[in-house]
Amino acid sequence: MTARPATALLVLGLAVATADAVRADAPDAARVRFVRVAIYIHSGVRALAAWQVEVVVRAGDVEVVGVEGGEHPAYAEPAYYDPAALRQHRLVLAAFDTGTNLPTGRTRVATLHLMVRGAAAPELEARLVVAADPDGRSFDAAVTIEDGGER
Amino acid sequence: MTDRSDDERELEALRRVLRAEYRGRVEVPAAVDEALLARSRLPLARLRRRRWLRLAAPATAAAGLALLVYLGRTASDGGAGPQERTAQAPEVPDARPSGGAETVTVAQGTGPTGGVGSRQRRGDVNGDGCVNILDAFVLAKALERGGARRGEWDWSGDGRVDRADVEWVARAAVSITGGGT
Repeated sequence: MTARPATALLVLGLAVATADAVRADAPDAARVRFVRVAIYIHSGVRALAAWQVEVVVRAGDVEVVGVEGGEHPAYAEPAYYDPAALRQHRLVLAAFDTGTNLPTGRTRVATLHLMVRGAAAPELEARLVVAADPDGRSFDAAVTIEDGGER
Repeated sequence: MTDRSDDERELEALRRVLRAEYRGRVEVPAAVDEALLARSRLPLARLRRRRWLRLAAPATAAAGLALLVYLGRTASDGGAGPQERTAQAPEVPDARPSGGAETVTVAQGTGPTGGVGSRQRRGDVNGDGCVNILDAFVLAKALERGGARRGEWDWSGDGRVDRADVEWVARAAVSITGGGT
């Protein structure tokens, strides 16, 4: 079965801007804030043995400054990513586990640490490239990207 | 002795007579002059034409030889145009994930799903035409089962198929300059 491309969109605007406005006395263009973004994969009843997600910054002056692992032990280590992508607006994340202890259902597979400049609300899009079960068969899954709050 | 002197005297007399006879100017008609001139020009013109022919023949032969050499060289190149030669060029050694894994190569072995001689992308372990984390996963599983000793999976180029090749494929999958997705 071929995984159907799934995308999720996140606008990091309101919550971050509100929190930031309290202590922001610098001009808008010079404001810098750090936020976290969590990436979730919903694999249903299938065990998630491998996954790959592409994250694209659609709007805002955003730089990925760090990649953190997920919540399940299988994906506790940071996922594979291209360090050269950190300064760009496109990042591909991927991980796999050949063991038997694998997550099912909704699981956070990675957390991105972002540096956001200016007052513009950043907009991120996540697309599932592939999700596979322990037998190496790809399957349909959903991906969501959620605001993890300010750091 | 006397006979000889007589002969000489007679010859001398004959010369005098003949000199006296042809002392006057000999008139040659103009028509004879032109006829003689025309006859002399004819072989000269033929001679000039033959000279050009003698020069043209080796020049033609040389041109033909040059053409044959050129055609021979083209044939020895396999008749390939510039693009085909580029496609057959050996792999660039630094075509690694950090430098982009866009390189396409022809794997001459049998992959898990690709047949012998199938056109396979670097890192495309499962032969589905793209390089993503599934390829690294399949290779890692094959290594665990002890069934990944195929030379064509030596993506890292260290002469072995091991965990380094799994890492290579995984990094190729996430490379934004090529490889994955």
